[in-house]
Amino acid sequence: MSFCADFYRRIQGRRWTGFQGFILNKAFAVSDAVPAGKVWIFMSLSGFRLSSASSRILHFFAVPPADAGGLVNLGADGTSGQFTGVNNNPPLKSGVLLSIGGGTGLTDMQSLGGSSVNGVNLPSYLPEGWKVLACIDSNEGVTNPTPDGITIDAALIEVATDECIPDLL
Amino acid sequence: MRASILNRAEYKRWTTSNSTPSASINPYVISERVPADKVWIVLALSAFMPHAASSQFLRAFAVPPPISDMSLNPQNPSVDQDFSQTVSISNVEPILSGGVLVSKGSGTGSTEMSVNSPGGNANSVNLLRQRFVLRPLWALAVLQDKNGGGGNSFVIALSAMIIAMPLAEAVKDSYAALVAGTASPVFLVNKSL
Repeated sequence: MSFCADFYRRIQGRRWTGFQGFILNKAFAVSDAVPAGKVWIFMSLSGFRLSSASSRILHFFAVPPADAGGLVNLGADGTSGQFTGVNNNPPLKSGVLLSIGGGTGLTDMQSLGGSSVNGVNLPSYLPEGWKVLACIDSNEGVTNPTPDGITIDAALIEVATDECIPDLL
Repeated sequence: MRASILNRAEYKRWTTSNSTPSASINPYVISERVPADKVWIVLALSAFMPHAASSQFLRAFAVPPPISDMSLNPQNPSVDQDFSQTVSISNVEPILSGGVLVSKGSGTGSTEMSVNSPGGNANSVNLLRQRFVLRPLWALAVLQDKNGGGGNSFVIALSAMIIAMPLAEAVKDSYAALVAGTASPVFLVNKSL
């Protein structure tokens, strides 16, 4: 089935800003959940940190509905139960990596002073109830005393489940 | 394609059943088999090693029977003859009974495919190079590079987002016909959006 370019006029920019005052814990940010009856087609996904004190490696995960419901952006410096490590350190209770992987030496995923990193390895889909989580590599330290925070940006198309969309294969 | 297909995506996680008893036996993890009447469309795939002491390099394979049958009674990481062995390490590549790489390949220098980088850091690696279809009775296997070294109590945790589709259901007409047939091994990779 062919699609007209008009389909891509539906691309919308979304931004989710996590708490920007993490000092004693590692920063993270989470998207809204994909609404019921909808699917998100990600054309691009990225994230950044405003802190210029030190670079940090970011990772982007898709979190399934069973745990996504309780995963929200915090209003204060604290921890989320989605992280099984201390101070919001991965690994996650559940989730699958969307961005390129790795840890030390992963310069493509380092954010510093507002520089963005790419959050998706290839055009990606997110079903209803899932969320995107951006977090910091567990080998990185907290930024105390400098406040830290992550912002997620996305270019996505929200489609209803009864719509026809371009084939995913 | 109807967008509703994507809302059938499931989250899966499989973990090595038994941790490694020594540095001479490498860990591996095998997913459950794809049911005989389904195919899996793999939308996301990643892994980490929660307890390894040093950096390791992981690769993911689509594996056919008989090695995929191991998922019916997983004993991993016991020494398995489907894998190769070196003088000092078992359960390494190449997979003797067959298997095709689905992740990005690498040597031991790839930071993108390195877990526990540095040692003790439970970071994930992305094992999906392209979306792909896994045919009935096949499974996913994740191995550690044989040059990465071994250790005690190593396990691999594999996470995935998959859509399980009945064989009779149309994905794309050409794919559905191929998957239902038995003429040749079916491992289909394409991507368009």
